[in-house]
Amino acid sequence: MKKLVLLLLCLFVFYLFGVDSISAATPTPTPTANTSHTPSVDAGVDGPNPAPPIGIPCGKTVCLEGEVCTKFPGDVDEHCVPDPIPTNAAGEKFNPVLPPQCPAGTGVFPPNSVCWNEIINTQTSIREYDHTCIYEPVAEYSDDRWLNRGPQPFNQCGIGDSGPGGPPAPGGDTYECAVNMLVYTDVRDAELGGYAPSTLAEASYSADFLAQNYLYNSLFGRPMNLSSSYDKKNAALNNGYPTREAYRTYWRLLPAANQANLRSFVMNSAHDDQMDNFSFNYIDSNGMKKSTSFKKLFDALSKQVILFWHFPFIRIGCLTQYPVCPEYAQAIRELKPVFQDIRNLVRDLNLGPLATIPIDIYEGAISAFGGDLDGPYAAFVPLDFNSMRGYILKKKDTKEESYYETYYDELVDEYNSGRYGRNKPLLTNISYEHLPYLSAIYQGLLSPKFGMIPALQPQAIIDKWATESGISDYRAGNTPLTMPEVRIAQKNFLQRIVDEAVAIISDPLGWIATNILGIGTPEDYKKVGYTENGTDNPRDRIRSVYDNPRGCPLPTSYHLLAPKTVPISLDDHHQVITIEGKRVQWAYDPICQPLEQQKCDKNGQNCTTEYIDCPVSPETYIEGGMCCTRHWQVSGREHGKALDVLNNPKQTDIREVVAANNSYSFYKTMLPAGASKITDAAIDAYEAFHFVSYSDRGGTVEAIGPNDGGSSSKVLNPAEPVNRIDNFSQDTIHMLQNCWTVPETLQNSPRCKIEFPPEATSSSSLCGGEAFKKIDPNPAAPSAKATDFFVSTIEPTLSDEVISAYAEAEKQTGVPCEVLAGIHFEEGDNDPKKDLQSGAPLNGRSLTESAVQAAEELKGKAGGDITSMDQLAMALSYYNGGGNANCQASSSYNCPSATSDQCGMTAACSTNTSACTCTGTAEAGSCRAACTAGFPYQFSYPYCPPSNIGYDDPYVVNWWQSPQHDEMYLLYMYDCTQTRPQIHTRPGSLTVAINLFLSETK
Amino acid sequence: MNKKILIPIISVIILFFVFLLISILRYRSERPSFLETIPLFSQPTPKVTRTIVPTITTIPGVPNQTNLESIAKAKDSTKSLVEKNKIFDALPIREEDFSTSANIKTTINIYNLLYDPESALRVEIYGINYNNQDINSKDALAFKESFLKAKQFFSKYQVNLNSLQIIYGNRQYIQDTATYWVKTFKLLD
Repeated sequence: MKKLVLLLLCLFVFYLFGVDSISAATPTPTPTANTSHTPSVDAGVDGPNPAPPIGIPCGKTVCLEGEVCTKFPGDVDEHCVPDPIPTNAAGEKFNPVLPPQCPAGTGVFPPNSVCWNEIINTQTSIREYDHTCIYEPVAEYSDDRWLNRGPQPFNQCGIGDSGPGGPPAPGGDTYECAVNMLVYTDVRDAELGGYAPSTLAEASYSADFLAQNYLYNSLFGRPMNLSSSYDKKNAALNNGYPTREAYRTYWRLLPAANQANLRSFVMNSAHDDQMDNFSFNYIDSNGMKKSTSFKKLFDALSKQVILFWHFPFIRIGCLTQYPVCPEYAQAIRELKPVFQDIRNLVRDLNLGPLATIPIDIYEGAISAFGGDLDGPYAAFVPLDFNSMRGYILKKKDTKEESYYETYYDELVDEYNSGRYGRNKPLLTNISYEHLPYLSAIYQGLLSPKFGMIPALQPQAIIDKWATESGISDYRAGNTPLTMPEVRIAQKNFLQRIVDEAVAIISDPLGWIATNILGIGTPEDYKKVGYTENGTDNPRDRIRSVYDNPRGCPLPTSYHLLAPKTVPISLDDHHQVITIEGKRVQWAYDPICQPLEQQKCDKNGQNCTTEYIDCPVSPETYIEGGMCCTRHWQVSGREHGKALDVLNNPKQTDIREVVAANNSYSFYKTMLPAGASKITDAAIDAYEAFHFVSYSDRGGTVEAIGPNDGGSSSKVLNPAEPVNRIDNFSQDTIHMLQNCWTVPETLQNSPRCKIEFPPEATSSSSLCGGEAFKKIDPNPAAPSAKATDFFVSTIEPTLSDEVISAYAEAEKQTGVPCEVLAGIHFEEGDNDPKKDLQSGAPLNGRSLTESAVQAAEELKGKAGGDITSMDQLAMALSYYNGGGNANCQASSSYNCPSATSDQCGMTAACSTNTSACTCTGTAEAGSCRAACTAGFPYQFSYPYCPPSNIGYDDPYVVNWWQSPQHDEMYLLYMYDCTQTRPQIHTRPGSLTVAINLFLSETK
Repeated sequence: MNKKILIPIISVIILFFVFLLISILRYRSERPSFLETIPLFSQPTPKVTRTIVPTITTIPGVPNQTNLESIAKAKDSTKSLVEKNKIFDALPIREEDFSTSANIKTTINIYNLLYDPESALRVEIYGINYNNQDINSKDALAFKESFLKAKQFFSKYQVNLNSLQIIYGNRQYIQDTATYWVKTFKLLD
């Protein structure tokens, strides 16, 4: 017995050794490509590529069947909405059909075809998620009002005409005069927007259309069905047969060995539960549609037996080894085995039971596939199809919260109470989206082992992602260990001990400190780079990045059918939209009837004059023979808050490597000198629906406030697109495949013929003054000195580069580009290499990022959106610090100790300006210690107090208006150091902004 | 060996092993929990040299930007984030024209900026000349009273200001002066 065991052990070791040594020593033979599953273009059929059915142009996008082109109030452009738009106001229900979640550990391909795939983990650096948005709901309100009657009567809240002899208009700008509406946004119909088709698109369009329009299909995908009947909708004038020239471009570039290895790797990952076990369909050799899964395929392939005439004569499970065995090409050829031939070969090779037993097992395994593994192996798309995470977010503010609590019983949502088990909704809501396909595209593009970009540009990838600690695949701190390639074996207990030992030895104090600090720290906050499998970002982390974007950009894009993202939320995105009392319009509309009325009988005879009773009172008056009751029609319209769409950072990476990066992107690699003609557009994903919610008072939609009964409110823009991160990747690949690489006579994609708007060449076309106009359309013109300086010195430095950065920041924040130009002038002379914060080098940031940051900071200091010149001047002064405001130092005097030009906190400051710093207490012997009675240098600025904050700050208004801004002084040239007043010889930031605005609009 | 020496040593050793055990058993989210079983690149991981950050030249009259990194490092970020989250939903909080006994009207502005460190919060008080660092100045007095007013907002949400990373302004001299005043007046206590 012992001898037998020993013999078996030796055979086993020998086998292993033999396999390894042969793998290492034998050069990989050039494989024979298995073309049995690859569709071939019919010889003699050379019709043009099918043109994508692009639908009806609408604004900057194109509507699909079943959509109409609309421009809602408040929108900046037209877009496509479904027809009819679902609404609950009239009782019509809006309940989208959502696919269920796949059972744990499983998934489907294509995603969302039956159920949605889970996320494995997601980026923890929530600030790295690129923001796009859903346009805010615009709510309209209307009601009737009376004098001394009902809620909010005119004598309490009215503004405007009160009729003959009526009471004076009392105003109405009080808390109690506001009108509140509870509005919500249902995002359950949200779609990915592009990248890959929905199942409806798969079923509706030809394989070539899909390949031409979806990034996934063009690079990696495979048609679900290769039968000739599938392409009936193909308009290629080739009898409906597929042309397939565009499908799966990158896959076909991969060497056969890489294809086999990638398939093996992904099957192993599924087998080892490192990714979900995905089900997929295939067509067997009889043309029958069948279904299998990654694991089932792995199980069958792992039992495959191939025989050959060289050592070791037999391989078992060649295609599931990693890397695959040297005879993989034969293994692929023999996926449709003839077992009689194999048994004959066993006999010829004299392999005996060593081979016959595995062959029997293989025959049993393959019978489940009808004796043919070729179909499922060819249909198997070896990528990770787990979903990625995106978020849709809206956050409440204090004022909103205050109304929400004050009208607790009125601001409710009965319609959705069944869905959420309560009628009082959340005001801070987050939807957790499952973004399908992105993992697969990301892996296909950026996998270090199999990815397209590492294969084409390995050095570029190293240059981009190499850090001191190794390769990081993403800026958020992701490491190679989070790549799917290495997620194949979990650490065991022994390995954890080794890890800890290494950590202790390498940094013992750090290890102890980490452990001590780790006690009591929530697990969620310890995560770096990625969450652990099966966990997610906590709500408060997501909530922290909300910004309320104004004027969401509408897409320049094709509106494509895409799979749903199944946004799971605790509640819909509710918000309180408030029309402040002063913004409620009161239109005087008296209800009058004649004092005398003729009344006749049925025949129109026997008429008598009747006089109606019209007691004159404050509410009623007589005028021109009419008895009139004072009455007003009140109305108002208000914008709510937009919703943030947080796009997973891997989408940014996809964009970078496909098109955006000038050095190593696929587009630039293929066309290094090709001019970029692709518009950087958003993706117009399917809709978010805005609704006004109602209480249980008869199901009517009412505005809330002291004004109950009879009022009505509605949302004017019931459907808005879910704008997502740009469409650059898809459009670029489309152009590359269908325009650049196709002879002009064969091009028939309508997009090849698109006339792009001419590139902006002047600053005025980028920065047009529209936003500034909203603050003040007719600002006072700056002085001649300022204008001369602007024309001679500033305007020449305003290159397209800087102006486009300001314009982009304006687009994102609403802060006028002219204001940002003014800030950048003060801080960094409009130098594109300097930031807008303090003129420091950009240090890796783009100028646009710096401009956006400055704009956000300015808004923060202004207390929100900037709507007036006073508010702007104040915010600009705060931005600079406000230390030089001339009226602050009006109590100036000649201090005898201020002998040099600077009076600082240190004694050395008098002679050495680098010693002029903030020290807390003034040093003994310093100028500041001696001069405590006021500003130690006498000067005169007579225009105090200023008309508003900021109007005495030279940084803001120098050289703007005469005479108050003609001569302004710099008082603190160094931190905490009073300096001899110097007349400021540059225009202020606001002055520059106005100069630029006027030069644009003149 | 003396018991007085032996007991602490043994305690430290026991503590060490407790930590070790906890570390091993605990779910280590901060470290990747997977083995690299497939070589990513055939060549060793390349080393890169960081480019030298250019020196910032200070232009007189343009105050330096606040060093946000040092604020984030000054206090524990995790604890600060916990405190920040207590008040986050109420932001922004703004009090205009707050009258102080120094005859200076200030504006208190508590808000969050996306570009700031995640765990830090802006508590800005305007209307004060932060160049006048003197603790006896009117500016210092106005700041003190305004800060105490701001503190009331934080108290409402049980925020522990001692643990919060506070940004007082976007200029370093504002940050320095405000920090000095807060410390000297013991405003966080």
